[in-house]
Amino acid sequence: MTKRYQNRIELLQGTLDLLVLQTLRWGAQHGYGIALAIRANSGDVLQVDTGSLYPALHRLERQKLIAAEWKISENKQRVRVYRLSAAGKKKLASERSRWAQISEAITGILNPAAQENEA
Amino acid sequence: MKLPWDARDKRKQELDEEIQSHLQMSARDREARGEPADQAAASARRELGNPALVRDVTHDQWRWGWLEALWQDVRFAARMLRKSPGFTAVAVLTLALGIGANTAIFSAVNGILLQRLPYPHSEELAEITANKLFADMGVAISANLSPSNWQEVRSQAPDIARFATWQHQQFTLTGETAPEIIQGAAVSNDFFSLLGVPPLIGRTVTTAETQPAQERVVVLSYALWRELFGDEPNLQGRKITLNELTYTVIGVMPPEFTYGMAGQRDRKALWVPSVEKAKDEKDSEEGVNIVVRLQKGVSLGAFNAQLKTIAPRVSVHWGDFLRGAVLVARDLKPQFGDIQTGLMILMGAVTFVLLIACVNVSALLLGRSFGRQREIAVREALGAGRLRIVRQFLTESILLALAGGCAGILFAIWGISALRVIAPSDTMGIDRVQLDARVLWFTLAVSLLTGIVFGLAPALHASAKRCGAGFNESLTGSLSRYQSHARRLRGALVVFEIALAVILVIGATLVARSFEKLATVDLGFRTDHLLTMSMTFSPSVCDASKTDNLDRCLLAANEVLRRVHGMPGVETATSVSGLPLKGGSAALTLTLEGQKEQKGIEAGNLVAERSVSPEYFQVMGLRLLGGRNFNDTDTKSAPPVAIVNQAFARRFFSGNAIGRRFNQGNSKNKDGSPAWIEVVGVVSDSHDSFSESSTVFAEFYLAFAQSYFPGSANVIIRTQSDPLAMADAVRQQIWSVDKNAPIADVKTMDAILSESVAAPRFRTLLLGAFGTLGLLLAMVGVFGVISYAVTQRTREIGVRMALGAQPRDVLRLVLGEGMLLAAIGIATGAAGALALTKLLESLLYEIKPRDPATFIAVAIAVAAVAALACYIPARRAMRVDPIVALRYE
Repeated sequence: MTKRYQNRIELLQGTLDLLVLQTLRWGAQHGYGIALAIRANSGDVLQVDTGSLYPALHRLERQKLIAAEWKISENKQRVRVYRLSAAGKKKLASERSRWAQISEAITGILNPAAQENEA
Repeated sequence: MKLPWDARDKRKQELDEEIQSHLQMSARDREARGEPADQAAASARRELGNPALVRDVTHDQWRWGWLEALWQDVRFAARMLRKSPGFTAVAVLTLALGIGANTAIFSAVNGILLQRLPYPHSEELAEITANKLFADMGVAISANLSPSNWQEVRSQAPDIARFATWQHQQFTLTGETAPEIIQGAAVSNDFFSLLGVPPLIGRTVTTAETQPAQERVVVLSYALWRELFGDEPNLQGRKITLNELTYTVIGVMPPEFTYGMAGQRDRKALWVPSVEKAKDEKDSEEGVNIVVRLQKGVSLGAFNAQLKTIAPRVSVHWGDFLRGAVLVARDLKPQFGDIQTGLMILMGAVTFVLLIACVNVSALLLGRSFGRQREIAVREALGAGRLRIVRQFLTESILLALAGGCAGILFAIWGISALRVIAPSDTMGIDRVQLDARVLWFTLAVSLLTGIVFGLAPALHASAKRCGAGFNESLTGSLSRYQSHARRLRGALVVFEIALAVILVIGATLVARSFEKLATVDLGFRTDHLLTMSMTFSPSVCDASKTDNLDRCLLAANEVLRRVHGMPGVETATSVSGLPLKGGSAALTLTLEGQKEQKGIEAGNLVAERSVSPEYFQVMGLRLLGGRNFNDTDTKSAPPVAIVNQAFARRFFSGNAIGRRFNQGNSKNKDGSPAWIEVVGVVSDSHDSFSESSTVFAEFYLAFAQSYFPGSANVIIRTQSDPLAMADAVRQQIWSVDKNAPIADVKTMDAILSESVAAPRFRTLLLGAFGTLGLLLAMVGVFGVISYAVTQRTREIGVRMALGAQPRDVLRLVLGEGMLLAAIGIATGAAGALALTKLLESLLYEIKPRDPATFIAVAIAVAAVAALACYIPARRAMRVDPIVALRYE
């Protein structure tokens, strides 16, 4: 069982990290909020698996790309809130450009006709 | 204190809370969208999945990745080792022998050589002596400075912060049990405070106590205090009798304080204040030991450089003999000489044994890694990098080495107790040879290093990129390249271990042959049925410090001999200044009548000198070859006479010594004429122990009646039966002359002879044991490698036989391969031995470190044993059935 989860994290690694960092760009947010935001912003396409989200958050925290603190939510509930760190901002910028390159490359592969047409 | 696992627990709780809050928010959202409360909570949980699992996986993100991987490696390695108990047992045993031998010898090095000095800032302390090297004899003389010389040096050496002086002094302790000689030191008032060691009990010497006419006080060593007063810490009113005078005990030094002791193993010693001499006594200056504390930050090297510039400006008080001596400062570490060389050689030998053990285990691992090709291929296919595989293999080998280390400690415990039994009994510090923390750290370090050394080659080899070999084909053809690489590696290992074994065996053989020569040397005198002991007369019988008392000493000594001689069971008895084999004194300068130049140590000749009573030659079994023995007419008033040995007669008088005259140290008679000594007799040569060289020293004997009798002498008694059985009766005879005479060193001459070769015997035994162990391990290794090669080549051998090869050809094939490796190994080892045996030179007696006979004999012996080790697997190869071999696979 553990193996399955770990594998999925690995598959999602990078991508999910990017999504989390991107989401936190608009401000500090708790885990549940991040999950909601990703779902909403992807037009309900990307369902973030909670089993992947929390490991990703803690991994990013350990890498000091995001920082966590405890806050009291609007419902008077103690929640752990994540915030983008300076390193995280830098990482987000580089990851974004890398993602752009990759997606361009993948689009190129999936769409050879378009390329040939251009040539 | 915050512990890592506290942080972990906290994080776990927080994570629980975080997940709970997630669930609650999710459930609330669902309720807001209209789901019933109980259903909302359930679906929130359903959406999340298994909270425990989420928590575990999330928590995993915080774990120490490498530590976990290491643990995984260790567990896997342990499983692999458990799966092949035969291999594991052989490897662990081999390593245990190697590591155990290293641990045992290191414990000796640690206990004897590596002891820390017990003085604070001991690096600032130094002793100053005047040294002169007589290069042609290789004899270095180290002399003490006179107090006035020392004043000159002191005033010119600003690097010295403080100093203290002391002199050896021997005391006769009476009033306790039997009279006993205690070695002591007369120390200046600064002595203890300079060394910085406070007394265990009481106090040390004060400045007032070094002034004349004070109460006599003494500081005892721990061992002496324990013997005299048990554990009683109260020193109030404790008094002891030394040299027939009463001393008050003022303090006891801690057990580790040994400075100023004359190196006694029993550590019984004492310190008294050195009483300043009155002005009129100052003319006869005696040398003093000087210990200084240097200014902060001054190194010993810098201080020695300063002394070098001072030495020429110091006036010569040392006498002509030490003219041109240099001032040398050295640290307070004890000097070990041959013990150190011997231990270092042994350390080298056990290192070789361990290396051979490593090679064996390496070869075994190499064989195993072949069987694990598929496993490695699978791991690589799953994405393990080379580093990861090397790490996995290294973990396995280090685990093996640690197991070997643990088992090695068992061998070491046994080895250390054996070591303490067979070590020469006078080895200083042998009682400190034990398994202490430092030794155990050493064992751990050696084990880890060992694991890396023997594991690295197989690990690199196993993980080497196999050119295009996928794991599909990994058990067929394309593996031959890999196999040939393995074969070359194994060949190299065999060569290496045979070379090591050859060096080890050559070294051991040289030392053994040297010992054999030493043990069978013709001493020139009979050692059987001789009882020896030393006696020192008490001041009331003869005070040797007063010149006019010498006759009384002689009378007392002669009375002792007369009484001992009259005992039943005694053949003859004699007194002698220095026992044979225990060192005597050497004449420093010698002039011959009619010849200008000196003949003594200045001219490069050690000339032994002994004072004896006339019975000496008869007791020792020396033959009078010409002239006469000493007799009653040789008295103080008669012309001085000497008896010389053949070597003396040959060297200085070309054989015709009788009637010739020589002078010892340019001494003069009262009227100013040279004090010639006439040779009246020549006796046969006998061996002495100035060095372990084969040459017999030139030696002359003086009659006690005509020479100086220092108040103590050795007595040698030739008995009819067991000499030791007479010891008590002889003691009583001595005490009947002087009831306060301490008697020490009661031994047979055979025991003295045995002691004189105890150190070489010890080295021979140990080196022999390690040589045998090394050779044995190497041969087991050769056997293993060749056997493995035969197994690997079963198919090839089968093909050859099917094609018409005779068993004899197969035998030649296998033997040939093994013997080729052995030959290369022996040649390499012999070359290595040529370079290394030089280190043994100072320990060898009458045999050159490059003795050709030894080299050839060892080469042949190792070749023969290697042939045997190859022959057994070769025999098996001969019996390969081609049909079975070809059906295989």
